[in-house]
Amino acid sequence: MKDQVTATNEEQSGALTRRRFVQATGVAGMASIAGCYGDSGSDAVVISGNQNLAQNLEIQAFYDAGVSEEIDIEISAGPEDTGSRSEAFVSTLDAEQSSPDIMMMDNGWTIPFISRGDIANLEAEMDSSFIEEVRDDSFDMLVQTASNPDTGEMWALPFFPDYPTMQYRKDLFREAGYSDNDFETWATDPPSWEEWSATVAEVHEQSDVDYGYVWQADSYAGLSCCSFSELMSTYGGAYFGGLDNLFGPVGDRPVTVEDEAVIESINVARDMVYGNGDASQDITQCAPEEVFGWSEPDTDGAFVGDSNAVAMRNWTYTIGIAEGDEQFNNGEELGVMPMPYGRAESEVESEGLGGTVVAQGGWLLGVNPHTDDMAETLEVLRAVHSEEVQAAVLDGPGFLPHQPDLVESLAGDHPAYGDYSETLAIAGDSAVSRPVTPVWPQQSQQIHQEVNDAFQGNKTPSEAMGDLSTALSELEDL
Amino acid sequence: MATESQPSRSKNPIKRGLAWMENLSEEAYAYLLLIPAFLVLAVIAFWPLWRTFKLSLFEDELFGAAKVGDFVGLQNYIDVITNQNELLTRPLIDLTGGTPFFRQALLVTIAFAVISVVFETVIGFGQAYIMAREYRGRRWVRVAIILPWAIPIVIQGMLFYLLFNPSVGFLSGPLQSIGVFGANPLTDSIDAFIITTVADIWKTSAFMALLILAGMQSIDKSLYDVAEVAGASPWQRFRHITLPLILPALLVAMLFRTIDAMRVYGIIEASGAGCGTVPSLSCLVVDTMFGSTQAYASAATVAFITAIIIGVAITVYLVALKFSSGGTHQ
Repeated sequence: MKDQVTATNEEQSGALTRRRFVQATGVAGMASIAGCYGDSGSDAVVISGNQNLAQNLEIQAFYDAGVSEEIDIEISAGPEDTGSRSEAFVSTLDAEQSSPDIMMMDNGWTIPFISRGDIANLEAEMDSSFIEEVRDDSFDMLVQTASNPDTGEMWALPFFPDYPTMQYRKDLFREAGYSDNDFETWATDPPSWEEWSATVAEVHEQSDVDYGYVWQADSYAGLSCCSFSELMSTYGGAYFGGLDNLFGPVGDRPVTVEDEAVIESINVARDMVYGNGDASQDITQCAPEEVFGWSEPDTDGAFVGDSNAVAMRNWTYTIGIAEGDEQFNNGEELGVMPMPYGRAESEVESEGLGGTVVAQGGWLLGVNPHTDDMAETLEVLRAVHSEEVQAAVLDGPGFLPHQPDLVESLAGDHPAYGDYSETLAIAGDSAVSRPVTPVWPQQSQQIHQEVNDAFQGNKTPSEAMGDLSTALSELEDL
Repeated sequence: MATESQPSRSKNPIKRGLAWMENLSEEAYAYLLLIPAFLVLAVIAFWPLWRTFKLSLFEDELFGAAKVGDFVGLQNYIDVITNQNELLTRPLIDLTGGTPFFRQALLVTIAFAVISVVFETVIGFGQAYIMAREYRGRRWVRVAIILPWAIPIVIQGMLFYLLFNPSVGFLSGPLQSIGVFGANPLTDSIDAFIITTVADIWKTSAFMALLILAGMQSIDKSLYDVAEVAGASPWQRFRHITLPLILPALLVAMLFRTIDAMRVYGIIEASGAGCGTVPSLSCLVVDTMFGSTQAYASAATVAFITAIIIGVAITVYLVALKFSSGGTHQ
């Protein structure tokens, strides 16, 4: 009786009763849950690209190529780092999110997505004549890394190829006594690493910039696929014996990372940084120790953004960036050449290795199978293969077309690439593919960790490559 | 007559439920309110833990649409503990000693937890002592002590990245010149471990300080007066009054911090060190599951081992807490 009286008094005075408390928390809880299910999606077809693509690609090109004006197209800037991008797509696809509809995927890790069936099979979704057209027109390497290794079906669309070049500041070289004759020679006939390291060191010494040669040697996927792979290749080394075994057979190919050529290339990298004379070649100290923690954005910042380095190894997109940079006098003071060579082709045993070598990179477009509107998504994807969109991709973000024919016809007249077309052609001819198989992502992880450990002196090159050899062999047998 | 005898009973089940609730005892009402929390806990904690354990009993399926393959029992646990699992980005532990200390996830995590919790406890004690005293400007000192704890972990990580990045960090050069760090402290496992540990201590000591302060302020001040009259030194007062009386609060604070430290991940990524350089247990799970490897069963195995280790740590603290509480009551 006493309780009832108390409760009545509390109700009258506005105090919190059990009834009111439960009602209030119940309503608040329901409202929160309802809010979580609110629709925050976009009706547009969303392409997850990168910052450059999001800022510089003209969407109008898609409509010029025949996409219906009723389809909205958005390009979002996904993670810049290739590893983070892969992780983001794993999460998106695992959660069966409908956006982004189209994903820009590094051809170094697309095959595992294909093998798992995480992205849409284009051969099942699009007409066979279009697929055949893409297959015939595009760079073989891009098609190969966009296809299911078991069935050969194409699951992703080639977007753009890429390969690195050696880029340098002509103004600093001129101050050190070099001339246009040297630049013209290097543009088609690159020097050896012995010569180039000495030259960069000399120019650096006479300049006021902080860094000599900057490149990407962080422990990340780009080291295993590209920057170390090409250095190793120019000394005649290979992960799996040679070019014939790049794409398999997995489990039935030799692991050759303990070969002398691979060890030598690690020592060359260490000599560039520490100048200890570990390599048999006479490599001059020319690179900062920071490169062992640097990837592309760091080197871009040092060479282009801050104009604080003599030379840089980087992909073709930085040529376009330098073109618009005052320090480079709108590209006039940018020198470009194929990568220096370690050993001449005649000096190495494996066919196709030695001489100037660059890593063949590239990007593909995969379709999210959980997209809200597959028909509209495929209409946008189809337009990517058109000349209009590829011209816009070249003019805006500065990415090369994925069709060799269009590289000649479009890039030759391009304001940024036109001057370097001969150099780019030589570099493209010397490109070596990364060994993309279903186990490559796991092997790549082991490679960049061990190689970076060897670079930084955490392990000797022999120890690191011994451990790597064991790990790669076990992964081959999975 | 029957309807007249129960005039107030409503046919509306909600109203009947509310009326029933109003007449519950205080204890029963408290349990009723805890039911939703237990249900949420069951959904977001125990169910995923069970699913994780179940996932860990299957082999990894790297190439098919399915994420896992055949049932393998505890084989994944054996492979992970004996360092036979090549899918892990770093070994959990290498009993052969072939892997450097700071590349083994379990050792890195335990070292991080022990060092950070010890330092945070000691520093937190000092900060709590400062905050407990009466002096002019105490309010501002309290704000200054608590401020690091209020900074989001991403911002904190960025601060340390900007301090130690070789290009822009103003600390990396001087520390390298006196031989403390190498040229790339954020990519060297030992240097990066020190940086992330210091970052964690800087941020979280304030949390310890607040809990210790709460314990200090609950002590009856007359005890100190009696001790002073009895001629007890400051150390004796601390040893025989302060420490025993705040021990339960201290153990709870250390328990919270140990749990957090055992699952460290955010500061490692945010500071730019990265999981490859400072491989904590959580790093190992995230990298193995969402990184290029995408080995779900292996990741689940490490995740469940992590949960067991944290469970053991909690048990140790709870036992210690029980003894300390018992001692206090006596």
